[in-house]
Amino acid sequence: MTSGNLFWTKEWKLLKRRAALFIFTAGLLIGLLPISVIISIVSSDQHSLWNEYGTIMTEVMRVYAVNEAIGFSQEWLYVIIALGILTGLSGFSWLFSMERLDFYESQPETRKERFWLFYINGLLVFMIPFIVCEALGIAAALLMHGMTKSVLAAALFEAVRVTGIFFASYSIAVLSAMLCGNVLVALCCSGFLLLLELVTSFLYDTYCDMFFVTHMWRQFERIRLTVSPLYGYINNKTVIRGRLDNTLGYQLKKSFVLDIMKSLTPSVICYFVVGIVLALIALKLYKIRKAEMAGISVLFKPVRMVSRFIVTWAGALGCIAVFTLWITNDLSGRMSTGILIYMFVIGVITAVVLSGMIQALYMSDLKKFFSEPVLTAGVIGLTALVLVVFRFDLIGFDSYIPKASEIKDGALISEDGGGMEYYNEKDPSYQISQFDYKEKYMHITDVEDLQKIAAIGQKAMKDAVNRGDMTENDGWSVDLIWRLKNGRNVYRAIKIPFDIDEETMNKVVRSDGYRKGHFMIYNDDVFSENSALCRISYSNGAIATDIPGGLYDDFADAYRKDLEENYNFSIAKNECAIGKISVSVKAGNSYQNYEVYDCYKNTIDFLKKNDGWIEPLENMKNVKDITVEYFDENSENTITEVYSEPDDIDKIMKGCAMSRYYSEWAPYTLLNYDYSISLEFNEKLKKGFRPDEDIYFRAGMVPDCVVKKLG
Amino acid sequence: MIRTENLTKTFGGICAVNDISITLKEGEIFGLTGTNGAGKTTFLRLLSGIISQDKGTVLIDDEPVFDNRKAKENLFYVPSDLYFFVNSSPKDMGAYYATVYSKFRMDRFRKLVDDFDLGWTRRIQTYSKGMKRQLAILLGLCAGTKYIFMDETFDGLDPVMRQAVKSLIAEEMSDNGLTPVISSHNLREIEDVCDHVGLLHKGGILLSEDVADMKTEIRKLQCVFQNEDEQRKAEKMLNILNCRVDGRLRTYVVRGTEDQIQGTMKEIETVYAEVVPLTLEEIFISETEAVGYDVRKLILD
Repeated sequence: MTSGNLFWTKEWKLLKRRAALFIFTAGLLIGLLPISVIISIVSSDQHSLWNEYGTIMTEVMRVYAVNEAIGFSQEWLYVIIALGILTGLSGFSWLFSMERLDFYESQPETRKERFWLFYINGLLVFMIPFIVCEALGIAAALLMHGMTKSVLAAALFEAVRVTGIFFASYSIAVLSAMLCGNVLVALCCSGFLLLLELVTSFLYDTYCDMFFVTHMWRQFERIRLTVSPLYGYINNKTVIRGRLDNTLGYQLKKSFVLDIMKSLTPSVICYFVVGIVLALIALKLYKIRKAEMAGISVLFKPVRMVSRFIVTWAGALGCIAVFTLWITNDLSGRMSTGILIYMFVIGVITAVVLSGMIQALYMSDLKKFFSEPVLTAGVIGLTALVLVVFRFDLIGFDSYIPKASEIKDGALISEDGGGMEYYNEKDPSYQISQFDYKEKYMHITDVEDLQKIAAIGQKAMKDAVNRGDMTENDGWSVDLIWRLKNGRNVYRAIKIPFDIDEETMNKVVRSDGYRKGHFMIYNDDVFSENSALCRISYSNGAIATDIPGGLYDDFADAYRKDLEENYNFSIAKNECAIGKISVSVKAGNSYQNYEVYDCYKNTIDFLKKNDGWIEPLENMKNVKDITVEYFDENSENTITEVYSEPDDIDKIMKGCAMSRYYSEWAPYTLLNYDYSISLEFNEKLKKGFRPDEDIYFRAGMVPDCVVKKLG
Repeated sequence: MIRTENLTKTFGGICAVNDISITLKEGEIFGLTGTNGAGKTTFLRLLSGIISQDKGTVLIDDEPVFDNRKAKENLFYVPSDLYFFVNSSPKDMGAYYATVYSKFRMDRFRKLVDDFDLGWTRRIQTYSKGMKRQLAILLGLCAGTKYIFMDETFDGLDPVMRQAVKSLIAEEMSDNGLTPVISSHNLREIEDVCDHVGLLHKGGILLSEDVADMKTEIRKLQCVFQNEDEQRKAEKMLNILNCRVDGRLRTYVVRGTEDQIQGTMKEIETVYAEVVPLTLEEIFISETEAVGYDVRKLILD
């Protein structure tokens, strides 16, 4: 028998000996894959029947159900990680028993041969049933008409991803088996390795959030490359779920699938690389591992010390965060000495208890609880250092502005967003967040002015928090992105005061980089490619009308010209639009709103040319009467008054403006939202025109006639 | 040939094997004895390549044994704590070892399992301790290796089985050139089976000699002297290792052959004198007391 045949003969015999685990794995995967697909489809069809969905909708729901079962939305990958750990520890559990080591290590096999025999066997225990069950799941979906090309691509990609997650988890377990001498400690070690990265990242973000006013929580905003498959899975799942929820109609379009696959591919490659690297480290450790170490908790003293240190330190920091946030959820900048001392005391208690417990576990002797106090003291010292560093921002987090020479470009994203919606440029049903869109398209290269704004914003943020009265009235909440030349992105949350120097803001907001990242009109394939299906309407806040179809490109050209010639921060902040253009495509699934100012000559000309123009509010002549309502908070009554006098009507019309909802730089205080205004017209509106109710008084311009009667 | 040079192994602060240099020749049965914690199992594990030494060398046919497939193809280790696959039978274990040892004799193994009435497809977990030991020994004897190391070999075996195993070992030695190394607490069993014996104490070899040589060159002399002058004369002429007095009866352990001792005693006037052979236990006690150890505390019966 050749050595190759002998190897596979041994693998087969080992697989037979591990039949129990094999059957368990197969049973689990049958339930999670083909049976899950069948149940999902049946359930979806039943749901469709009850809700009397048509054929197309039923198919859409069926496809979505299949995606939930075997596509990107799988919720059960924790099971795969657990299987990886179970398979790894059970496969190498013979390392923990001197009896079994006598048996194996005396046999004519090198350690390297033995390692690969068991390692590969563990992979087979999972892969054989997984491939079969995945195929059965796909076959079931096909037979039950729940499969499309996109879902198939998603399922196949996901199968590779699941394999990667298993592989990485399995290698972690094998490595743990090499580091430890008994199964309980090896299990703890596996948990430690799985959670270390996640906990570290979370702790860092939590502390930044607790102490730094400009911190932006971006844990699950984008795909991260991680060593830990658990962290990777949680991160991937949250990002995918966020994107899936944005896909209107859940149709799992090709563009969405490709987008997700592209995002996840580096992550998947990372899982395999981690799996291979950890396997090689495990092999190296096995070669130097002493058989007589069976039964010892953690074999290598440096590993014992480092792991004890890290777990104690993380535990102390974690407990501090939990107990501190329990008593207050707003600490930054106003943290008293009392709270700091409280945090330190929590840290000390946790460090002592945790360190002692770990040492007792390692030594399997409760009397060792207080041994090696130097390490515990070290943890306490480092914890105190962390508190001091974060409390007094010794790393300069809140004042960090990269050097100009380090910056490639940046982005300035108002959290108000201006009410804009953003879509994947290829797929109108695939909505993406404002942040994701601008992170992709906004590239402001005026670094110097951006740095000035950042400095002002950071200071304003700190001042507002220190005063303890951060409200909407302080300024605009803005997310700032620095894209550095070294490839790193830095994110900060700042507050731009309402009274910031307009000239500095104009330079940035007028720039090509800002404009092209803010207005989707510069990345509007979804509208221009469906021009014939685009519906364009115009409203001045009181009356609206539709413009004939097929004119999107003309509108877009005109509007872009107006933006280039006129749009700046001063206009966006100070002026009220005279109207807004709404563009929608495909029965209203995707739409955009664009404000029109009286300096937007090109757009106004477009509207006039296409019978879409409506006079600004102050110039409207055909108003018969105006009903103004005011909600009195004291009496909880709504007071209504109707104004019919031309004088009153004139004053009211001059004092009101269209809502500023769509402008990201409009201060909330620019309009008075206490009153609602609706108009009645002298004559019936011309054909194609209809009433709209989107007008409010400008701040400080409520006419006396209204104030007197309504308050 | 198995050779160790300055072999040392320490666990924590305890020296389990302390600077052992020994040569085990082929074709001889080497017996290893000593108290609990003497280092017998550790020594066998070092020979089997299960654990690696801290210092020194272990060579099997001039090959270092640790992590060496070629060296391990020539040895089979039967530990004191046996391990068999869960739910396995002798058939399963035989099939497994057939993939591990290329010279494993499945037919012979089958025959022996039947001869020992162990049940070819019977589950091993239903066996008694003795039956498991029998099975382990049979597996080792059929592995086709040159050396077999057996730890606490005869523990759990009834007297009939012990004889059967001894016969098998002898048969394998003569037919297939097997060289066994056997460790046991039981000096009587070692004496019965082994050609060469080593006594381990606190990791070191206290004594290592051929059994025949040991018995030939040391005797017990029981005598009653006529008078004290004759007694003193005898004690000067003989190489006495040990003496026990029981009234007028004196029992000496004397180094020398029977002829030599008897020749000497002819010149002494005695009431009664007889030379008798010593058991291995008595030899050990005497030899080790001579080097300063009170082995009575060490050797367990």
